Amino acid sequence: MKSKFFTQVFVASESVFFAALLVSYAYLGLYKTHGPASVQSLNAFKTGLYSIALFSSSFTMWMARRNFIKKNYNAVKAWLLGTIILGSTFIFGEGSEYIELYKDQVTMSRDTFGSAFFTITGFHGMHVTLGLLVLCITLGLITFGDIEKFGISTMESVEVYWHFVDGVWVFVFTVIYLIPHII
Amino acid sequence: MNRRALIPEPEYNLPTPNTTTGVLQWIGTIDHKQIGIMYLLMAFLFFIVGGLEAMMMRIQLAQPGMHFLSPHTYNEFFTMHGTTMIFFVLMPTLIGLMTYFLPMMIGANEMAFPRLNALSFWVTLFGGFLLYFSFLAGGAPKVGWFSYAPLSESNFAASAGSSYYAVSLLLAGIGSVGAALNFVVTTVWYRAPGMSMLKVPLFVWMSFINSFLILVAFPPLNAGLAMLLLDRLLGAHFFAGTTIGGAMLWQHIFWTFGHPEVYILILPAFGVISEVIPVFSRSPIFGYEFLAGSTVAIALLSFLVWVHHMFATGLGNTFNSFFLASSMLIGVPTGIKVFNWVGTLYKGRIHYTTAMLFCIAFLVDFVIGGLSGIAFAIVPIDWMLTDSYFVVAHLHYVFLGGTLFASWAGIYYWFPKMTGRMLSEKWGKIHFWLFVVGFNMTFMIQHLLGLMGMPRRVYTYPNLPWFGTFNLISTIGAFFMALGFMAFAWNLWISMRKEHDAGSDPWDAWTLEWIATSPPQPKTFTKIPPIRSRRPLWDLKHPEKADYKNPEVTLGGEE
Repeated sequence: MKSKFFTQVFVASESVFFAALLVSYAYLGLYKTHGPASVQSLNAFKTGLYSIALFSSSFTMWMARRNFIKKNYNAVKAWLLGTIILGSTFIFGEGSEYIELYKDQVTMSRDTFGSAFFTITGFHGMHVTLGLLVLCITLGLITFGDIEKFGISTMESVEVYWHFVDGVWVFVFTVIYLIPHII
Repeated sequence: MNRRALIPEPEYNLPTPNTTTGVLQWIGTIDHKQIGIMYLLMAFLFFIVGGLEAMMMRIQLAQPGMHFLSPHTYNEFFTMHGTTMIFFVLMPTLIGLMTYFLPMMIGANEMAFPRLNALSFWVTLFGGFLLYFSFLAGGAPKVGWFSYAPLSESNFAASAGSSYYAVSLLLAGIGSVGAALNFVVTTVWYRAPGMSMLKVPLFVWMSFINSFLILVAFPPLNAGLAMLLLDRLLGAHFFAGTTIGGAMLWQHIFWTFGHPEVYILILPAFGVISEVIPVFSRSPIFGYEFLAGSTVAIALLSFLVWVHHMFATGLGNTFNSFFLASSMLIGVPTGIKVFNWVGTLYKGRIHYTTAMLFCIAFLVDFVIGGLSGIAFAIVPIDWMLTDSYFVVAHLHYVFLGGTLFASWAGIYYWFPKMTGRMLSEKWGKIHFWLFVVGFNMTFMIQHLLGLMGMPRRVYTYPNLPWFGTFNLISTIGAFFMALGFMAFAWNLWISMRKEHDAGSDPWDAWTLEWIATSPPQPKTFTKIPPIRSRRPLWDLKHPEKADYKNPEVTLGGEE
């Protein structure tokens, strides 16, 4: 259980990191007359679809852990695989968005918006990628390792981290994609 | 709920560098005691470097119009001095003491995550090396330890120094967060049976709270450093200085971290003081609950005071008044602590060992630093004195008079436990008097220099009335401090050549670490006495006068 507790404290600390980035984004926006300049180049609908993939991966992860408790190990593998596919879909979506933005000349160095956008989504994408790596290791351990020694604590820690990654995206998506359409 | 580490632990003495696998064993170790010692050695190394930089600056300032250092080198030195001392001396000293003694004081044989512990150490150490590598890579950072934007941007600070600053502090920050996570889990999970949260020693209490401060304060710094690095290397525009926003944003981020950071540097020091003073006053700590509770108050308030570093930026009266009030308020829990320590001394049978002398010097000098801090909370005073030598005097009184003196108290107190050898009291007292006199000589006069209008961070100054004299006094004091430090180093050297003479409990102390042998075996404890009060070892030694039989002693929760 100590690794679950560890993960909870860790993601709390990481949340502060993302909060600092998001507050900086908002703060820099306040000093412009019409908000960050190139926010119009974002396609909120398309990214919204990819976000749904990420959010539903939280559900598949939850199912994986539930089945782990019931010792349905084949189901655990299936749900974990589902989580990995959904997470990868999101990363794929983020990558294709980056490519389109680069084609529109929206880059890190173009303006404040570009800097903040790529920094925040980039750091989030890094966390998702790390989570995918952890999920792959978990899947590998369950498939090839000694399943009896594989504790529930590990499974729960992975789950906490994965929910955190999704939770951060709720805030990032709201602040960067949705709020400009509301105000 | 209390589990032990599952790492195989050999039942023999810690290897020394003289045994065949010595150095390699230390490099590969995941033992919290060895890592703690390595933290302290790291701090010692960087203290020498940072101290030499300070001495060079003091020589340059000894008289008006000197040309010992060029302005360029002077800028590099004050930046490196501040960054080194805060991130690579004081932080590792405190984290080192915590790494070594936090598990021992709660009766655990290891930290919760030994490998993470080693990772935290090595990341921090290489952060320090990277900072100094900047000297070889085109010049050290030269924009001050808080690296204000846009001055730290590539168009104003073109050399790679500020990038090295950002990367090295990122590494140190990651190391500190890792260590803090470890302390939190260890304290929650590994306490000995019977040791409720209200029975843990105060050093553990304060380190525990401190770890939460680290966990909340360092992420904003890391975010800021990442943004600074992206600005410098990839041409991002966070702090570019094209708008007022960028420059202010850096200050907000930095001080959101920076003010909790000064409490991060003082809370474990408070913890050390709260352990050393009772033992050498031969009386239990006065007002345990107040010391613990005021720590929580400090931790919460420390996030609400950062703007007092930014009074001069013109945020307006509403902002300034709020932060004036909150900054004044944070003096209250700190004051409570001082009264508790004085209350412990009162009617105690005080033993004037070197450790105790450092505690007393701490009480005096830290209060002076605290009072000048309270003065800075008052906006008009801050406007008059900001960026003057009064600030330099204030921060050195809290960092040296506070953290460093407490660390030395801790080192003199725990050295027998760590090495099995006593430090020489004779050399300890020489060290104490030289350093404390030198310290007050150097920095007391700087209050006056600040009031007379001498700005900080200038490489020289005109020959105004008294400026030369006062600065010369300050420089002479710095040499006393250097001599004091040499006495300390000599003391370490001669003591390490002695036989193991300390025994397991040389100070007749009360907390669990003194049960273990000196130095402890790799597996610290084989069994732990029943913990029925806050002073388990006292109960063990004096069963007839045990705390749990004494109705006047609060025990701290159920057994």
